[in-house]
Amino acid sequence: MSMTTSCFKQLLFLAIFVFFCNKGKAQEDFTVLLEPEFSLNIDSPNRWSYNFGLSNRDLIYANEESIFEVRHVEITHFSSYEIGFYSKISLGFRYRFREVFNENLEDEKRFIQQYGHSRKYNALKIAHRVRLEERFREHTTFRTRYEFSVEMPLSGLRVDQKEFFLVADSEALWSMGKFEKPSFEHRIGLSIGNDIGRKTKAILGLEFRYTDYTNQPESELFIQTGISVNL
Amino acid sequence: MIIQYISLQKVSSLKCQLSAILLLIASFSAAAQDKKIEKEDRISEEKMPEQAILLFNAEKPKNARRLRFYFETDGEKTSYEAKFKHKGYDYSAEFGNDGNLEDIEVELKEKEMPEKALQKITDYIEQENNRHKIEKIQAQYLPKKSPSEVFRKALDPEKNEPANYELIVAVKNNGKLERFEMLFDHSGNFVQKREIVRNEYDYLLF
Repeated sequence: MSMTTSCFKQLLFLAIFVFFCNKGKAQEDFTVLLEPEFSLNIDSPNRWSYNFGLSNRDLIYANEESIFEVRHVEITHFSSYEIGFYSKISLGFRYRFREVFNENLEDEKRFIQQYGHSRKYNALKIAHRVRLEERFREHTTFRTRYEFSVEMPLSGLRVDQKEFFLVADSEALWSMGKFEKPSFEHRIGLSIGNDIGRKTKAILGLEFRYTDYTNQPESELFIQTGISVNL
Repeated sequence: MIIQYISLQKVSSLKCQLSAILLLIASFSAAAQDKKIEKEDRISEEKMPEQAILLFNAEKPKNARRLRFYFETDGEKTSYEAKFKHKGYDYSAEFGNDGNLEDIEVELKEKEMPEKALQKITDYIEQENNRHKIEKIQAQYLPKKSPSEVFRKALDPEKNEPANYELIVAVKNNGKLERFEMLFDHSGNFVQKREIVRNEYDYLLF
């Protein structure tokens, strides 16, 4: 436990360090966004499970000014098939409503193929996620991404009802398309959650995104809130 | 301007809907809470029952590492646990509310188990399930004579046979995954099992 705590502290310091380094260097390219999400996870008695998500994104700080601008509202669906003891393969579709908030933008349709592996090691839950995405909007972009995440209970060795837990994650993304230069992005997130009911989790987190870092780097800070219900 | 107005209206109605959904879920989950609440928490040494800590401090190995105390309840029964590491093994000593020692469990690897008992256990699991994976093995020592005797035996698991083996086993039948806590006696005969509530990982993956 002490090892995981110190590991966690190091990660936290790294996130804060990267955040402030960047803030000082390129203040004008720094934005803060808000992303509330609601998701419903349905498990069936066979190998299949289904996820439905509703979320929206609002710009709340940009160009050194506080603003409020809705970016999009999106709905997402995943159908997953359990393989082996700890893995799931999933197919997903996401529809992002953008035109209604900005007439110059097209709505985005996205297809997602995913492999997820998750396992509990004593107190820690560790998950790996590999995704392939095809994003259809003004132009088409292909994206590959890998995420590693760890969940840790904050009291005792397991997360009980009404108890708090921490989740740390790190994700690498690589986008490419016919009309754009390949770009790399990295995301680091830290969130705190609570099992508010037997089947419901509430999560509040910060995610730092460092986009297109080999070409035109920009920093984005996401404030994420989520309610996740399992049926 | 009109478009802007419409979109603003849509946004505010969407926001209203979102908050309505959130409120609904919060009240729903509050109402649906089970009466029997399981809880496990790390506690300080002072919160252990007096008799338990006196016994534990008298019997624990001198060089025990990573010593931690936990309180556990399933809504009815409560118990206390002292967990520590010793000579590379993970130990867990369980005490009742009154401070009496209930058992000592030592985590073992498959290769550290007696071959015959392990074979019997795997034969049973294989017979009952399509596929399986043993995730955890604990040798369970029960206080038959005196508490110090249990400590003496459990602290040398290679030489002393436990009363039972408690296993966490993930099984797959017709493609569906379930997880059980299974109890076998010292020679590998099946005693009982209970299903463990599945861990939810979906919010980590989607």
